[in-house]
Amino acid sequence: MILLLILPLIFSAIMGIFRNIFLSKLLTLIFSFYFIFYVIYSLFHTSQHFTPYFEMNALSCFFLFIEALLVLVVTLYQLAYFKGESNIGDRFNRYCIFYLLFIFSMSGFILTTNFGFMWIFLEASTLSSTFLVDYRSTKGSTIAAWRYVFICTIGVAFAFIGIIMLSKGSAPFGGTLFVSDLIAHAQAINPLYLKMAFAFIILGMGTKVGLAPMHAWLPSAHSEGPSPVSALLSGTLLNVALLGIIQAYRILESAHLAAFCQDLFMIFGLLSLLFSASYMLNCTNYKKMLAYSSIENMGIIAIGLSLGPIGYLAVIIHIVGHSLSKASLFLTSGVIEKMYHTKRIEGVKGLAVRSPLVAFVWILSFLSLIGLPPFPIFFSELLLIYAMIQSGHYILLCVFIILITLIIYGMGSSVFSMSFGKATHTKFIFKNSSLLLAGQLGLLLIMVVIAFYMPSAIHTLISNAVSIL
Amino acid sequence: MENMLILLFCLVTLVGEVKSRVSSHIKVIVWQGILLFLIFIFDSTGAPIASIIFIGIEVLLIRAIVIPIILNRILGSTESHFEAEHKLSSFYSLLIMALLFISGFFIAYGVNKLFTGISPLQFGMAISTILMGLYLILSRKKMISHIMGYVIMENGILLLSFSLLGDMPLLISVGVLIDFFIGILLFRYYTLKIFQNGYDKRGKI
Repeated sequence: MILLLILPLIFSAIMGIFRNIFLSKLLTLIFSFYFIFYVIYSLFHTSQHFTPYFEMNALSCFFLFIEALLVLVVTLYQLAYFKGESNIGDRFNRYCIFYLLFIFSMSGFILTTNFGFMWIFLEASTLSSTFLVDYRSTKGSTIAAWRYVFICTIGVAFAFIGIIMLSKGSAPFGGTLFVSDLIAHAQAINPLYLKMAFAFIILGMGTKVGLAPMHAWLPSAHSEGPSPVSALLSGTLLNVALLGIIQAYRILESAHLAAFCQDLFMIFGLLSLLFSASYMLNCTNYKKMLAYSSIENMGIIAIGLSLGPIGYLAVIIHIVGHSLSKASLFLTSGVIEKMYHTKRIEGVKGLAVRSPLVAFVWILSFLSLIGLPPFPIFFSELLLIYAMIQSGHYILLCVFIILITLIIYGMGSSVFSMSFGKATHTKFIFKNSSLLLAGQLGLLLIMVVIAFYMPSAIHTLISNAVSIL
Repeated sequence: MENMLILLFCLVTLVGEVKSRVSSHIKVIVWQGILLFLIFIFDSTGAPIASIIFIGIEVLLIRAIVIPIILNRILGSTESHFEAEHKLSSFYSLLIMALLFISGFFIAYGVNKLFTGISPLQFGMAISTILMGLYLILSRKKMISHIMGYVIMENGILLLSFSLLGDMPLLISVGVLIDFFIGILLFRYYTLKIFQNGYDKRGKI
């Protein structure tokens, strides 16, 4: 575990000293492979410690597994994505440095057992990814980066107030910020401190998750950043911040205050669906459309958490489905952007004529995201509907189905209008670009395979992660 | 004496609002830094020497000296000394700030009934300062004012942590300070970048 936390720092330092593109590519590639091998090893050895502050358990292993998988796919993709760009030298080198620092901060957040460190890693993830969003240094990307860093920093400041409340609540037990200690003593902590702490944490970390109405940074950051960055932000960063909220929720659940949290989850979840639906019906930019879809999916996950234990399995499956499908969509959107030189939906027509393979991956990723069987989101949404019926939330069920239908309609009409029709002019010559699509196909294949055959290690991991929730 | 310092800490934000210059808010931040240090000294009888040294560095050096210098440099580079960019008129803005200040007393009164073992006035004034900082961010158009609002909010959060905890573990405090400081440097970087590249067509710098 120590290597996982130290390697990105050492590699970043080496890249900073030597400033060589080949070396930067090599080191990011080495780290990505190390990361995935380490996580696969951890599937069979989930109980690991590194100082009292870092621990690997089933929940952290689950989140780390998704992160490692996406990091590998994105690292391979970006080798081809940035190829041929002018003046790439120093900019790409800096990109690789911040890319590894970003991965370090997310891994640190997932592995840490202490809320104080969680806060530090969360803020570090914002600071390191700001330069990734602003990679191209255009007017749009610079303003998006400013908006991203400012809004998230303020949000995370609110989360800090929540952490202070937790520490004050646990003062009779030495003011501990360790998750396990807080869970163990939860019933003895003043409930008012716990409620205030959770309210601030969901407000603060919810900003990073992209829950409405704190989502203002997300559409611009996701649409202005390069596609590999958008894929990582959407597929991993949102999950990471969500994990922080889940850890706080576990404490309140132990103190028998789950109902308070579930009400907040439901409010933020429904608001997120509402904001996404209103944009999806009038969307003009396909990367922004994907960003709003992330807000929608985080809303669905929040609703899943609001349903209590019945919804937990759905939440875990939905996290897998959303991360993999959304990464695939963002990476494919990067290919489309290179083909058509526009992010406007109107500017892209006849994708299936120009490149049937790109259109195939684009449509299949979309079908995966909206929950067509056998993709994971089909099962998660089915479970959510079942959970709503079981818990008697019939009004919620109606609102949920109406909003999801509107979102699928809005998104579907854009995806299909881009894919079919008379082809618009494209300058991109699609050759030697298997790396630009291989990763997405791999992610889609994984989702199909696990629907029919789930390896026992993954099955155990998911079961254990759900039981921790 | 301590209560006097706490009230002064919150009042200086209000005084900054009376003046219409951006630079007056920088003076507010300097005064808040000094007052925070004095409040901590009164608060922390018997605190470990390492904590006192760390807070001294954090509050006096970083918050009262370094950050105001950074803000002054941004101000100098972007030539935006005047505040004339309220979304509301100055009168209403001052009225809202005054209401937020008064709300601190009500919060203190409520907290006194609900919690034990905390300083209610410190808690109330801290929340009041956080809200004032947030109001500055929401009610202003210029980026520099947003940064100042953020720093004032962070000072309020530090006062809140004094009120609730006294001091946090040193390792975590160092991490929090580094993140806060890098955040300010990043804000400076982007404000100047947006200004120098002419991305600011609506005069928001």
